[in-house]
Amino acid sequence: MMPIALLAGLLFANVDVATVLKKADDNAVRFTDLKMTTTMVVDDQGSTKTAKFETFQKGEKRFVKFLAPADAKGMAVLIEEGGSSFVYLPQFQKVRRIAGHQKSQGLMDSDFSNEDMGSSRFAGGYDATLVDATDKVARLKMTPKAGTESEYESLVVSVDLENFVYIQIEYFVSGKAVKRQTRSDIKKVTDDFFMPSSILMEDLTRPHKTTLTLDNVAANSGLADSLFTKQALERQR
Amino acid sequence: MRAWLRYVIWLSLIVVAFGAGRFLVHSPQSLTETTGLAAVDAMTATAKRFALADAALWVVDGGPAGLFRPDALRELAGQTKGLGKTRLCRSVIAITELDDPVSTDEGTEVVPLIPEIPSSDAAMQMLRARVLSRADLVDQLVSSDGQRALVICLLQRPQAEMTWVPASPRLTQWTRVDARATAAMLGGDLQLSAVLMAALALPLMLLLQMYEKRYMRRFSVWGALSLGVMVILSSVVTWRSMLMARDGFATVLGGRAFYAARQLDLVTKTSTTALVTVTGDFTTSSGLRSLEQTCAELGAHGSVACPTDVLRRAASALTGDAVLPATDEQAKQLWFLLGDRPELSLLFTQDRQHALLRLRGKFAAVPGGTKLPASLASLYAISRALRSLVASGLLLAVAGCVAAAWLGRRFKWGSFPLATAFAVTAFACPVAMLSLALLTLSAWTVFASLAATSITMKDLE
Repeated sequence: MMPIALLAGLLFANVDVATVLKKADDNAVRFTDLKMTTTMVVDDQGSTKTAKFETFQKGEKRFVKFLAPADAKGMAVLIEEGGSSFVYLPQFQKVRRIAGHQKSQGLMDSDFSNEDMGSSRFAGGYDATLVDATDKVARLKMTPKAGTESEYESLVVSVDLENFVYIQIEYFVSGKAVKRQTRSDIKKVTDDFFMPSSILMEDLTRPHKTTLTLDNVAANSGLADSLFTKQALERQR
Repeated sequence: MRAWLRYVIWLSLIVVAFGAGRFLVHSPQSLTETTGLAAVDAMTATAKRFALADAALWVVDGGPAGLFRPDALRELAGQTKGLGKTRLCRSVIAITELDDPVSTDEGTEVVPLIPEIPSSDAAMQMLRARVLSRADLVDQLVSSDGQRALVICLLQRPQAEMTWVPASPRLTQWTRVDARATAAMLGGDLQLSAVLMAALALPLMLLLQMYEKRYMRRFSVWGALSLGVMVILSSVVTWRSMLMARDGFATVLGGRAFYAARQLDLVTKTSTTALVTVTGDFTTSSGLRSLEQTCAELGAHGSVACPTDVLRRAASALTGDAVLPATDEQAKQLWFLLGDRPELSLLFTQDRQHALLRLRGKFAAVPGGTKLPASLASLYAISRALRSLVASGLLLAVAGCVAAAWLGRRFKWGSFPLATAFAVTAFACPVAMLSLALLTLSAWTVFASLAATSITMKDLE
């Protein structure tokens, strides 16, 4: 084992894990604010369901407004710093706080759990080790640090070394990959901020997948803080 | 009679007895849907509609001390998590896997029903009280005494790993909630009867040979032929049962499936539960209210687990009020938020046009006109007791046969009446077993027919 480990060390010597992780984390939030339109398609063995929503983000705060399907049109969700969520249900004219645990099932049986949706940066909650690397992509094994609550035993993230964008995340439970997120069609949003236009999450235990297509992406457009408040949700009435 | 011909007959009979059931087990692809009993067909349709046909069920027994102990709960949680990680289940439904939305004035907090295994007795008692206070779970996923829990595994398709059986001795063998499990049970028992007959054949042949020598008559040929008729009859019924069963594996379980059905009954009271399909448009407010009205009407015939309870709980969690949606738009929004939660597939079809009611009671007069014998549970117990008696009778017959053969050889005596009495006893046992099995089958047919009773809104208007 030792010679192989040494060889791997020599081969990957030019990849500094901490630096790669920091650059990728920084790129994930290299904006003051962000807005985009997302089309979500949930594919369950060929049977599909579609939802469309606008997302506004500033720091850790997010405001999501549903455009489709008709049953959900007008519904809005506010996610505050710290993870508190409030939902506005137009047909009931009510704003309610919703707190879910990490494993809570995603909307429309999507393959994104609360934890998956919330994890855009990894350095704070995970210990990283290098799995392998080429001159274009580095693969890092991320193990949750003590105190980090996670439904996964570990993740293997692939980082594009050109733009420092996370392009793939594999989720492991009991040593087996259970889900795989693939981010593709990377686009330049600002001079130094790159984002995927398509995100595919596959459930590796069953024929089920969710695709997010991101359109109308705009960064640093000066979103007001007042958008990210309960009052803004109530104004949806 | 030539010796070789006699051996060929015996060998054929034994091969038929042992092989009849096994043929289809090794050729599962040859299993077809039943086209026979209409009631079983109807039950199958109900099961398919509500994902019951694609569910494997486990009963976890916590023993006399109950499930609400750290080690028992830990084991249950371990098993359900383990199941969830296999490719066998697309979803696992059990008390250890469920969320518990807690509604407050401000909003809703969705927490796991069992967030962690309590370490203190007081905390464990609080958890027990919390779980057993959930009316939608008691007698569905956990027995009212807190001793047993039901684990439902919604199977992946294709079902490539159907032979997976958990290793834990606390888990009973899996079975299905539909009538096919019963057919499988009978198939297994009848298959067993063929095996017993084959076992009986050897000492019987010894005895008949003894009389053949003494009286110079060909008893053994006639004995073999009469036994052969029974074996063939039994094998045909076994084969028929296996056609009705979902797969050969379930059939092979035989008595175990019966035991599993009993265990299931202890948790969910299935023997006194009718599954009633209600048809309507449940995406609308009026459809949901009609469904609730149906539940109320059926309430006169027993206790009803109404699917609208789930919507009330959801409404309570999301809006603070445990009321059904007042408008169609509210109903649609609620359905959108509920999405495709696996537990919903057991209550509503995906198009929300059918709902499944669980009616528990004595069913004196269920709309639709089908009646279920109130003593079905007793019949179940009686049939089991009789079956034990039959098995004991067979064993006694075998023992008597061996004893008679030994005594006959030892003291060189015997009588034709003795041989006749023995033969009658020996053949009566399988006949009794067969009759009993058919009797149980007819009782279950009535049950299946009731269980599959489909009531449309039109019927009730």
